[in-house]
Amino acid sequence: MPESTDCVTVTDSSGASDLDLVRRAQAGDAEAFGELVERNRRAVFRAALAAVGSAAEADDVSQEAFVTAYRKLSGFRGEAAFRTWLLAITWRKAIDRRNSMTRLLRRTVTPGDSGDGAPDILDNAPAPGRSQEDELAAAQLQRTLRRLIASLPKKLRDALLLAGSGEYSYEQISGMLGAPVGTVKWRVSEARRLLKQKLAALGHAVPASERASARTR
Amino acid sequence: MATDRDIDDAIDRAVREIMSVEPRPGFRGRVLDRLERPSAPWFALPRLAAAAAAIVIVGVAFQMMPRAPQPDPSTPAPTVAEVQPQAPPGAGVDAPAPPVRPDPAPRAIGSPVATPPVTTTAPGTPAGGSAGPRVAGPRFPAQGVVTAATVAAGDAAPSAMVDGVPVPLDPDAEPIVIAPIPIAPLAIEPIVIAPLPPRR
Repeated sequence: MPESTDCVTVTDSSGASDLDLVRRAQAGDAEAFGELVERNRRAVFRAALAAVGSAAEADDVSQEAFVTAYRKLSGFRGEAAFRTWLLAITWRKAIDRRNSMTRLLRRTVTPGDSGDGAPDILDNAPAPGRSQEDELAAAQLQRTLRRLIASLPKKLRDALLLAGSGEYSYEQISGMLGAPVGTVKWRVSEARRLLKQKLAALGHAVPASERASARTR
Repeated sequence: MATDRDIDDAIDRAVREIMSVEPRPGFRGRVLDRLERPSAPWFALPRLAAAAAAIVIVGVAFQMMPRAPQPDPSTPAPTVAEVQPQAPPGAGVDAPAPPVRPDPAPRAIGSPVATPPVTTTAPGTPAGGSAGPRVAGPRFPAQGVVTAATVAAGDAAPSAMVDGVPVPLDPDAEPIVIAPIPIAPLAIEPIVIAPLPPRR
């Protein structure tokens, strides 16, 4: 989990901070806004992905969020970090989209769907020292976990995915979800507890090689 | 058997894999392209368009709905009844129902029936040079319903029965006389049908 980036200005190799770029973009510099897009596209995309569950929808929602941010840029006064402000916009857009997409209620995130090089655990070559049987069992466990994560209550799933992505601080997640940090942490913990409970009910045992690879990571 | 930590690690791995998707290449270009596009007009937004369409439909339906006709108080239907009693003076005259013109517009069901005062001249009273008792009026508005008007000759205070209700007659009212409509005999010309040409 990264440290809080609130009120921390991000700079790139050119030395321009987010706030500098925002000021330039507010003055009509589209290139400066393009740089802001480049810097924040992954964080925005993954926040949308956590909410809508589909790479294609997340892409569309992310674009919408940037467009909305650009149009509201004149109202941004730098009281919070640009990324925090942008993520709040993104989350609202993503939740609106999720609410209008009933099909996503029963759908889990499938990274392989996007066709953009997302890792698929079934495509991974067996690690040295892991038997094929262990690999299959690990893959089965991952599939089961994805299904169980998708079936979690939305509030718990959102918190678990955002926190587990490693992309956001708890403060940023708190800002997105509109819940105190303590509540976010409780939701993550509760999500894990539920997942373990369901795994146990399914009789899943983590294979030895999974344990070993997890420790080395 | 898996330990609690093993399962936590498996959960972490699953979450990371779910969230490890990258946006498609060219994301920045797509966003900048969208910025250059003009924003959609209001009628292109589905919710607003649907709301506007609903308002239009309701408006059209309201316009097409049949309405109860409203009487025009400024132009009451000029209905006049003229009674020429055959009975000798002094005897009660049961006047036939005055010829009430049909309403120019259909009357609304349940609308109140107006019973305005009926004016008449007392029997035997010379009014406008007419010798016989003449019932001038009653003037009924378009929605009035008159089933019969009865004038009792010789009454001190003449009245007419309108819908079974005695209505006092105004002796000062000017009678309204309707000139008889000349009825010309119908002239029907014979219809001539030319014979059809023989069929080939």
